[in-house]
Amino acid sequence: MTYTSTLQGEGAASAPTHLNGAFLPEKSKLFWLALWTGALTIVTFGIYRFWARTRLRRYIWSSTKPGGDSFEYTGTGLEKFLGFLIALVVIMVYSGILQVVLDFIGYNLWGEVISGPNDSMDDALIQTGLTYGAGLAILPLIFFAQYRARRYMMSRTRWRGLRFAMDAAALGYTWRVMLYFAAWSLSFGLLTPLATFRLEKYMTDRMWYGDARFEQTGQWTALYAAMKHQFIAVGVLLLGAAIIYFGQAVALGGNVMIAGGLWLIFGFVYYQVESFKYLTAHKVLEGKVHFTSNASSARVIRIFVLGVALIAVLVVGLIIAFGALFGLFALAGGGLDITGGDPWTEIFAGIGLVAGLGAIFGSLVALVCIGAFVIVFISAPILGHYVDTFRVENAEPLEQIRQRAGDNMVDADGFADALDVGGAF
Amino acid sequence: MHWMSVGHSKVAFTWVDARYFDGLSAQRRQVFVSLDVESWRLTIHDSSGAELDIWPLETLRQLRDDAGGGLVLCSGAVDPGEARIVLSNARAISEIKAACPNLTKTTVTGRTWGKIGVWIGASVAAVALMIFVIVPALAEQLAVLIPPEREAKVGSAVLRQIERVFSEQEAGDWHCTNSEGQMALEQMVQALQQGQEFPYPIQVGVVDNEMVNAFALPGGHIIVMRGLIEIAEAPEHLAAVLAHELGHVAQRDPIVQALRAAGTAGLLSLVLGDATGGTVLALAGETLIAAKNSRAVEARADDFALAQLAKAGVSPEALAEFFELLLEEMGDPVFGMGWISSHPPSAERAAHAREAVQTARSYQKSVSSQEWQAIQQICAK
Repeated sequence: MTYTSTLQGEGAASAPTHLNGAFLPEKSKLFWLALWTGALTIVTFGIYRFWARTRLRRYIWSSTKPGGDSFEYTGTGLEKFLGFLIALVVIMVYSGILQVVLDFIGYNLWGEVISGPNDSMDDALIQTGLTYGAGLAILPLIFFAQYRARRYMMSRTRWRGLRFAMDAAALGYTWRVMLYFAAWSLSFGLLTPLATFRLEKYMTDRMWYGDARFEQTGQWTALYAAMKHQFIAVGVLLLGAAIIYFGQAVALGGNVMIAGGLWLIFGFVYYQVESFKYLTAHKVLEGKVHFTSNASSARVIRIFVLGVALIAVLVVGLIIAFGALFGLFALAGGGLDITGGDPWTEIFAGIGLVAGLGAIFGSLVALVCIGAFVIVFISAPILGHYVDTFRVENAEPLEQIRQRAGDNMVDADGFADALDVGGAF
Repeated sequence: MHWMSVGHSKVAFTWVDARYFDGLSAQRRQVFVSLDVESWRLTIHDSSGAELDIWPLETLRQLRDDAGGGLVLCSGAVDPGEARIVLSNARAISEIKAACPNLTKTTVTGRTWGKIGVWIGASVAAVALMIFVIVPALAEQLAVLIPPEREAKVGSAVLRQIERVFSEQEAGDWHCTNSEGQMALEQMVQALQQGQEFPYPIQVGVVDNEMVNAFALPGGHIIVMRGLIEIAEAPEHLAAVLAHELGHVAQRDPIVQALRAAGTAGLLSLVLGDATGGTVLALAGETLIAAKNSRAVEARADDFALAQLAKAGVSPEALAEFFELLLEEMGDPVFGMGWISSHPPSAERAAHAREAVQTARSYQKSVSSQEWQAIQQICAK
């Protein structure tokens, strides 16, 4: 990784025209940090999770170095914990009342629909409906939480000493998402670019670096190019269905449909990456500074697939190791009686408690290990790829940007924590 | 760059390269820092040699969990200041780490602790208020609004689910259908309903299962398990249990409980976060809360049972005797589940039942011994 800007001479005089992103974590350090904070989270019955998340963010932020200067994450675990408590009080009241009312409506509907003695289909239908009803009612809160979480993270991020920020506009974001969400569902996903673009623009236009404002330019229709693989995939799926239906060739049609399904998954990733590239290329800071991203969807998919394969191998290894340990414990605790009786019943009688505790402990350890593996082999490398292929164009005007006042969000990203809508970091 | 020794082991340095961000602009500046252990401070000079800033060593803080490989410093005892120094010189870093006592210290002000305390209190209060007051009250209010005929349909749906569970466990008939036994049982229940209006007809049935259990479902369904009939030493014991369950039906407890449980379930998982140690705690907490909530409900059903037993001419002592019977059997793991877990028997409840016995009055048997035999044989095939 080479920095275009190096530490030579006067910063101001030799300001580079562009800055390359660089993501330089030490994998082993990141792994042990994730493992250790995960273990502490378990030991403290989940309370440490706020500090764990904060420490991981500090590490990830400081690994990210556009132009050689690292980001700084200034959030604290305590503040996150406090934010969670505040959000908890609000969500508690909201969702408690909501659940009872929804259930009430449900029981009323239930009685209405069920007529015969054996309408188990209707039970299932209503229960599904209720689940979705509850989901829909909690949805605005989730979008609200997402905006506030992003605002909190921006306000706790610094680069070259200056704060990022986002305007307080979570409510406006919430109703807009609901609106675009409705448009998206009614159009069967055809309006995805409209939703993606407008929502990103809403957020970007409210983002700041120091006293400089970001702006999202461009056209939402331009994002249709990023959807091309999804359209092709749908075409392939339809073709497969047609082969089965008209041509009566089930095996061939089935294979075509499987190919279409895989293509669709690729299409989703392709859209994510390509829309990110377009939106990045059309972001402007203070009307002067531009950005580019050269992320590659093939690379993202490769990282993901290799990561999953690697983790699968590691987990199998862990299971074997744990199984061996478990067997040793079983022998020591159970006292294998070879001379008389059925040895198996002896073992199971002896290890009841040891086995139970071992199983709980083992599954918790496995959860923490898998969590750490996912961070080190999937989330961080994908983030790294985005950072490494990121470039700040025309960086000179950055020097003119001044500091801004801090944003004191008492509830931090507590809503996102309580609703569990945070991303990987 | 110069290195020098000060005193015995005190080492300091001067003119070490560093990056400096003043926290006012996005400019990155090349500076030189000097560590003076004597005067206990870090001095920052710009490239022309002019003094930019002086940081007292005790106010120096380092950024933690930093992946940079160097050392990022800021100054400020309570709130870290805006300016940052980034050092990459390994020797200078170790000097600073040796000289500065508070590099990793975080200071939390009393005000912050106060805020945390207030919000912990508020959230505990909100959780308690929701779980113990608002959700139960709301459930009770809303349950009344559900028309009885709809509740009855909900009940039959629940019954079908139970049927599914039992028919998976044991092949064959899960429901005991001996008609003589059923008639005797219904007669017993009929007698216990005297003077009471129920929103729906009471339907009682026996399940062929060894568990010692009985429960009421929404819509007036009362289910008794074979194990409970087997443990009862007299028909009055069964009558006492049935009267108690009728009390639940009269108060519409099953539907209230269903509404309440729906509200409570989500709340606890919210507090404890996702799948880690929290899940175990959530389960334990839910059980405790259910038990706490049900105590008052059970007491009301007891009172109802005592009144109805008296009206039917059965001695309320039967309820006391049955509790004592359960207390004796408590140690047996077979009885650890079922009616005992949802209806914890206690000497207190037994004593309360005894108080209802009117000594001047003579009580009668609830059913004839012939009918009692029929009930005991209800599951015979």
